[in-house]
Amino acid sequence: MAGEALLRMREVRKTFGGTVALSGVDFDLNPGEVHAIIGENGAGKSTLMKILCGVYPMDGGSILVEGEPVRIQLPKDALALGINMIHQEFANFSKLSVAENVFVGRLPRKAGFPLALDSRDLLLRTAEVLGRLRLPIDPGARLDSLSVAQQQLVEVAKALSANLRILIMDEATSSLNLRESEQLFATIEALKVEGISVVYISHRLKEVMDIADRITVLRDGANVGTFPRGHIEEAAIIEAMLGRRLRAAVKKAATRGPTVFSVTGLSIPGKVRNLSFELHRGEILGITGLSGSGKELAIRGLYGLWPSRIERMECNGEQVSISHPSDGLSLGITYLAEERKNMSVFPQLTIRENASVLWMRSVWRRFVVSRRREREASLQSLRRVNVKMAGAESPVDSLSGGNQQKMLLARLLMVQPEIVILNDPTRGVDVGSKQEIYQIIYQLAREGVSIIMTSSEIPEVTALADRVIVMSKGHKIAELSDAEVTTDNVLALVTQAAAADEHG
Amino acid sequence: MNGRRFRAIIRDQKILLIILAIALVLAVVRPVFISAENLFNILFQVSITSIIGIGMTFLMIGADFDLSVGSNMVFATTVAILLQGSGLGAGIAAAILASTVAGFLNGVFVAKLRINSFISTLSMMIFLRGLVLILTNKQTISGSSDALFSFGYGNLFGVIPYPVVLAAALLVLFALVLARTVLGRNLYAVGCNEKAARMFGIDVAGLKIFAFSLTGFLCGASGIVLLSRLNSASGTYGIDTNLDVISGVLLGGISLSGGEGSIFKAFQGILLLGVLSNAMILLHVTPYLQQVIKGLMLMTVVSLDSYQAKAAAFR
Ligand SMILES: Nc1ncnc2c1ncn2[C@@H]1O[C@H](COP(=O)(O)OP(=O)(O)OP(=O)(O)O)[C@@H](O)[C@H]1O
Ligand SMILES: [Mg+2]
Repeated sequence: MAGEALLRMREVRKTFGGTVALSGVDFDLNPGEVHAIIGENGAGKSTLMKILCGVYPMDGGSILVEGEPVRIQLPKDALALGINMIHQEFANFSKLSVAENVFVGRLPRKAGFPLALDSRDLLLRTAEVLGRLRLPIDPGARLDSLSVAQQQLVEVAKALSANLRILIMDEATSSLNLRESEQLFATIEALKVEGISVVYISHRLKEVMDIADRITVLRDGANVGTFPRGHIEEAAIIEAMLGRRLRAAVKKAATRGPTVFSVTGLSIPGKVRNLSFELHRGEILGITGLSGSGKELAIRGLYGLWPSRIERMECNGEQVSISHPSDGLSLGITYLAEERKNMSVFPQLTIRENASVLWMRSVWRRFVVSRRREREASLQSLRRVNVKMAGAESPVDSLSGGNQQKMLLARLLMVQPEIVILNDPTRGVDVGSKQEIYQIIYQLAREGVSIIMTSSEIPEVTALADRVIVMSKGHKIAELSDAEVTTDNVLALVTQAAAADEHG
Repeated sequence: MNGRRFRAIIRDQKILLIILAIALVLAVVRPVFISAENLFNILFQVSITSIIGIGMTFLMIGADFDLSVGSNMVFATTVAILLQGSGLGAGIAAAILASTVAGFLNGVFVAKLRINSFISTLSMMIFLRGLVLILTNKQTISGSSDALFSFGYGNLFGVIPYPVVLAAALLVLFALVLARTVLGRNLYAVGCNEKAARMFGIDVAGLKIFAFSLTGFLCGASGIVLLSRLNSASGTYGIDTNLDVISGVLLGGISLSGGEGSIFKAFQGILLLGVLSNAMILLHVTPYLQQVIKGLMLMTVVSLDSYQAKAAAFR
């Protein structure tokens, strides 16, 4: 049957306690199609896909595969139908080889001796799957020796090695840099050629407009429209998503107060060479560069999260050192980690408890913590960053990804820091919330808080920062300020540096 | 390049290097150390711990462990002696079966009832120890079997003690099971990430029950080896066995967090403990000091492992 949709989801409904996550959503997927789902944080994108994968049961609605109604109650039902989701949290085996990861649960057995593992066949078949995706990855390598991006591509290979018909990628690129994302897109193209359909969830509208054949927009748990590629402009999509025009944050005027913090000679062997800078009161200082430039390691080294050597560090005119994050906290410096899952969120605790962990530190001397004051302080902070939640006493995993990110900002604000270090502050955040977060950052700076930030997206750094340090291969190659701070200038500098490297 | 190779050898083979170092020193100051008799004596000493160590390795790779192995071993010895009236073979079979059932129950508690392996095997340890004290009436009970004696004190080709032969055969067999079978490889996946393993259709509970039952079975086998040498059982036997086995396997670099290690590595750790004990006895180190040194050794090697892992992560 030509033109028949591979998958139809009809009137899918889901509520969590009092929260309506999906209120009767329709979603279609054609064979060999890349179908993007976009929407604000908490719009229901992940929930819709988790229902398709058997992670959550649906409260109502139906799912049809090739016109036949199917029941998907457990992940294995979805797998049997060839529906696979790339899980970022808990689905890989870091200590095992790539091949064992790809064929986990389905290891090949020796013919005639079914107990024995056929390790030759395992390696060959893995090499074959990796070859289909044109991935230059060694099947025998231990998974944790690969980069995060490569690990993700191994997940794609894992899905492909089974009977894959539908592949779901939920914010697959949020931790990838430009080059790595491009490799992922090439892999998606390879899947399309094989007739496999891809559901692609992302907050990066540019890449969505590039790779998706169709785009479905969810808002508040409802499908507000499905648009074929080329039939809609970015601004219109954003309006559909938000239900209003995007209000860009008003950039704050660059100011330069007295120096509050300075670093001289920060080095990390092989990664960062002799980086020095000053930070002024109320200033937003960006550190940027391509991946591998050392920008992120520099920031982590600075805060005692990576072994580094620093010749001299001064805070408010006094010589200090930070060998551990707690030293930083004592100096009134807080840090927003780039990774939510492993570095920031305590999944067993409630939203309030998560928000108030740093605050607790500031009041622990009182020995007995007033519950009421904790509630008030955390609610105030959570409201300030506009976290969308049923209540502060809900478990933190009930927050959508972007709202967890906002909760982390609320956590930092609760301790009224003097200096804030932001490592990728809008990872996984929707376009609307992004502007809200920018607004919060500007507001902080206006109040006299000094900010050091970096991001996986260069435009984000240039949009926010008053002054930008550009790094390449571990060196500071330039410092731009005020009107010079533009994405074009930064890109010109880094490509120049890369070209110079190639020639000598 | 050579420096890196050298460092890699130090990192990966440090247990063998320590064993070698001890042996070299002892060969000089106590030449009797390298006599064939003493070397086989060491191997005999470690044969019991290595047989049980096989099971412990399976468990620890699957991110579990078993505190009841010492009690379970003496339990087997006791059952075999009490039932020897109905024939040697029947006594041995019943003893091994009883130990396997105890192991199986540990597995059910951990895998089906989801009781943490510390709690379930601690209870089993106390329970079996009490059972042995009741069955032996707090006495040392003895068996009488020449057939078993000729196993315990006999030598293959006149030099290799039979218990060593048995341990070697089991080590090789289960090293193959762990490394070369689908079951073995799946166990690594379970230890690495239990939730994900379940999601990908691996029978997590079945594998855990298997590993615990295997450990029980091997405790039974060790109990018989013990019987073949001591010809007796008592509630005070095998108290140190738990710690010897667990610390040996840990020395071999198998971590409690699971997913890593091999039988060969575990055996190295157990052998190191055996060589160390033997050396200290030859050097007339007092028993209490021996314990202190063993404890220090474990702490040093495990700290080194974790330091190296951290260094590798920062690479
Ligand atoms: N396990 C859960 N328990 C309670 N509420 C939940 C749970 N999972 C999701 N929700 C709620 O359902 C709604 C939809 O969440 P979902 O995770 O699908 O959003 P999303 O579109 O994926 O957002 P994001 O872009 O931030 O990832 C949100 O209001 C969220 O708080
Ligand atoms: Mg989501």
